[in-house]
Amino acid sequence: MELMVTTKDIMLILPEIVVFLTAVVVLIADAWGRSRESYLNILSALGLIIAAYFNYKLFGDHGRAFSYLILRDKLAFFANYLFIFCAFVTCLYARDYLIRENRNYGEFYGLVMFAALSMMFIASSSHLLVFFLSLELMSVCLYALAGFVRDRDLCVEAAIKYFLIGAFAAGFSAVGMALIYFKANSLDLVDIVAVKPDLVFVLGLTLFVVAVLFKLSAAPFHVWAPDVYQGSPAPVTGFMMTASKAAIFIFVVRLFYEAFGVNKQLWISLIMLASVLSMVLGNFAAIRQMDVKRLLAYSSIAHAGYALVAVAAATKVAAASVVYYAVAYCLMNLGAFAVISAMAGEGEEATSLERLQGIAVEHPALAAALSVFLFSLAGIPGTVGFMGKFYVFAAGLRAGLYWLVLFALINSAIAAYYYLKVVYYMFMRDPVSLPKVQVGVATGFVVVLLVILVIQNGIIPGCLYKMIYTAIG
Amino acid sequence: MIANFPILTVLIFFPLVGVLIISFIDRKNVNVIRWTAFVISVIEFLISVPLYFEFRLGTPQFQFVEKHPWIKAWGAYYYVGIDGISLFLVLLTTFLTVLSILASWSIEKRVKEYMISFLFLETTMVGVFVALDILLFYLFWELLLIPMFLLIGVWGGPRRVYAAIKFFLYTMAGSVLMLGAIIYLYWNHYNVTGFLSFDLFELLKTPVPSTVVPWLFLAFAVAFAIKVPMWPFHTWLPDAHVEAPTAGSVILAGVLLKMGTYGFMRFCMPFFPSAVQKFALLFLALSVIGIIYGALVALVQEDIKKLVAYSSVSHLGTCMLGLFALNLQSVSGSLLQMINHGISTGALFLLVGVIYDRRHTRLIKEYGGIAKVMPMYATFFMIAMFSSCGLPGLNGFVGEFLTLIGTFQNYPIFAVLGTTAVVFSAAYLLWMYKRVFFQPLTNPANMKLKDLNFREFVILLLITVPMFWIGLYPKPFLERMQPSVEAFIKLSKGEATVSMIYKKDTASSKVALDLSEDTKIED
Repeated sequence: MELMVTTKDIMLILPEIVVFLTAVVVLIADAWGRSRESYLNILSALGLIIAAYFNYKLFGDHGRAFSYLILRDKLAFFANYLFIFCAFVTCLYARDYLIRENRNYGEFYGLVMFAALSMMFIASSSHLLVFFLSLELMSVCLYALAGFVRDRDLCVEAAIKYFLIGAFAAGFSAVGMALIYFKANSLDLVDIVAVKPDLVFVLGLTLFVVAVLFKLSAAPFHVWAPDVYQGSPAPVTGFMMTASKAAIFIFVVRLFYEAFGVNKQLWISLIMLASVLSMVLGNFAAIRQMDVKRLLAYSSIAHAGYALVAVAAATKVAAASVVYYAVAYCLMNLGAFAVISAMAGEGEEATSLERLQGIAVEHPALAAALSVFLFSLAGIPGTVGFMGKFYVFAAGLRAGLYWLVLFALINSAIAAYYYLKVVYYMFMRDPVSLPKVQVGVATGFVVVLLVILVIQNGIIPGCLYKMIYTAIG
Repeated sequence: MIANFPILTVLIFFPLVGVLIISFIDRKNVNVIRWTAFVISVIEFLISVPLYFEFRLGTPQFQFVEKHPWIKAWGAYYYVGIDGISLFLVLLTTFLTVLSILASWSIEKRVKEYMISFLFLETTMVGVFVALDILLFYLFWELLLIPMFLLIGVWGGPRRVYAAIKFFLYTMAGSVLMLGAIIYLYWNHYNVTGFLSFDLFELLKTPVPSTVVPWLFLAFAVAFAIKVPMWPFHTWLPDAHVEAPTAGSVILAGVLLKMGTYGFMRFCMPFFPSAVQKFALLFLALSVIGIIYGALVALVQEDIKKLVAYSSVSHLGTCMLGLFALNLQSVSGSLLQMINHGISTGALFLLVGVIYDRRHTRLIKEYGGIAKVMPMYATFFMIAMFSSCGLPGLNGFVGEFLTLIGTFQNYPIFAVLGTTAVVFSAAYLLWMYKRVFFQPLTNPANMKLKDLNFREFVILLLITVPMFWIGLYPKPFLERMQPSVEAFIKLSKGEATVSMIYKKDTASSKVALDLSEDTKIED
């Protein structure tokens, strides 16, 4: 296979290039004159808006670029929007947090954008090697981000744990890919489709799926998630919990729906098992949590379980529902963490529910916003979370996964308890020792934007749905 | 003019206007907030009154129908309308909300949030009763939990949090099962007809494979039985009622419980006539157990509010008995009993609230002889009590009598057992009344109790009017219900199909045709 890079290829990845250049510009600007109060977030946001503009211009089916390595279909461009949006939101509000923590460095924005860039490639890779490279690039950025507040012990612990587990998962996927290659003589998704499965192939596939499940923090490969998500700085947790998982889910859609769709019986039981375990372990562990970040970490494990229901369904509707769910999940968790990063106060000392109790008395707007996100996570109608869940369950039933869907439904009722618990602490208890909370303009803007998006897509979901459905097409 | 006025949409969204206005009022202007909420609820009630007068008699068709595309790609509509079943429930909702807001004057804590929650609650309640698109219905049904959860959890009594969470989780658990059943019906409809729709009538028309019918029926039935609540799903009710603030209890008893029975009438039974036959005995038995159990437990309560709460279990059992007996008298009686229960139990909760505001206790033994110091209060209490236990001339009698006489035709034994409710309810209410209002006035704390003030007098006077009205002249209610009730019975017995009963309006079929291209999916 000869690698020829043409101008057309370059033109097709313009959004990615713009994100890359923005990251570089931000880093250079920061190196020029580092100031505690610099407005690098605005600079990053502008760059991301330009990238989104190019993405808009290019939107459409362009086949594959870079000698079949990178897919440039509608789904890829749609995914680009999502990652650009996640990076945009994170960069924008992170400044308030970073200034409070005295760490308003350019690296943060640079790393977020590099990570977003690699996510964009993950979602558009049509070759396992590209996937692997992008995944590792993304992970390296996230390791660094996880430990961004260096002098906080929890933060460093999170970074190291994340790194070790990440390396472990990389090993799984490398061996899995090697075995797949051994059988298929190629890592191109299109070639893999044609393979007649035998033991080696199945083994390779299983190892690869395990690596993917690691990254999705699906049980039983979830053990790292609570520590990492709790320890990392709140904006980073928000970003890696949403965007990175969404990227992998979109790749999973490609992988399972397109590449392995014909060999459904090989992996479906594995996915169903992971789904059931994630829901149960995530939900039951979340019930007992008293730290809001840790609670949301466990809830994210459960959410991976719900999305896997639709992955197991493996139809076109299901593929669309996975993507829809990923978007919904991003919107509500980004919002939740934006609120938490403001609420937690200096040094993020107040993430426990006891410290946050009664916060609605002093900050009714923040508490109300977090409640909107939590109700959305719980899947109450009128929010995007409900529409996502509805769609996933509908896809599951359509594919005849009755027991799995029933199980997921019961789980989502159980899950309501711990989201309510947070609402209860915020609204129904009297304040004891509230943290000092300052809401910056950017944070306020982001929270309002996300609240609007969560509710708007919960009431009129047709627009987003249509976009995704045609993108899958 | 009224023909083109989107009255139901206005009813649904007008309280949200109030929410918006109140959210811009400074939280310190407590009285401004109260008055705004009150005025909004009064206007809402006045808007709903024309429904009663403009309602066409003698037809089971849905009226005031509005249908607009909502989520085109899923075949979901914003589709609302009312018939003889939902008409009175909507009126009951708007009426009780006015009284509840008046009764909430004594709330001092976070008045702004309280009124916002209350008006939001009204939106969702009206939405539940008028939605004819099953997804829209589910949206309102679940959304309703949030304001109610907050009302119980923030403004309730000492064990409010436990009660609020229990209420939420119980309902949620039932609802998710219903959601599963709804999705199943939805795909089933798609498989049969080839286009997607959440339209109630489209779904009603579609045959469901007979093997899954019992499961779907049970999924719906559990969701609604929890809300009713039927024995043995009733355990959330006493907690929620006792802990909720007065107005919360009024709405809970008056409107929320009716959503369960309404759900049975609108969805569960017409959808699965064969399962209704199969499970009728089970549900009749559960209703009778609920009637007797609720009454017996009410008999031994020491807390007045708890007593009224358990009496709800008993009364709702009568409603369910009438529904499953499935003949004209029993169902009309049951529907009337729903309204009656909303009014008389609502009144009892209001009355309990009045005395609780003064003494901050609801224990029967704390009182005694207060008829001497609060004569007006005692009078109103007596009327509400007699209305609740079915004294002829008051509303309770009409509903109970019709229900039982109808049930007797089909299931004499259940009717006889159900009739014990009348005896028991007289027993626990009169006994409680005697201990609270008569006997010597011994407790010194009760000596200086003030009688009703003007606001309380107005509330109680207003709620007493419909008691006499329904009791003495129920015809306007029954004649509006009758065609819809007949239609319901035919559907639930499987004697008629939907297309025989509800004529398809041409406007909506045209919309469906336009959309049929959008509402196709490929697997």
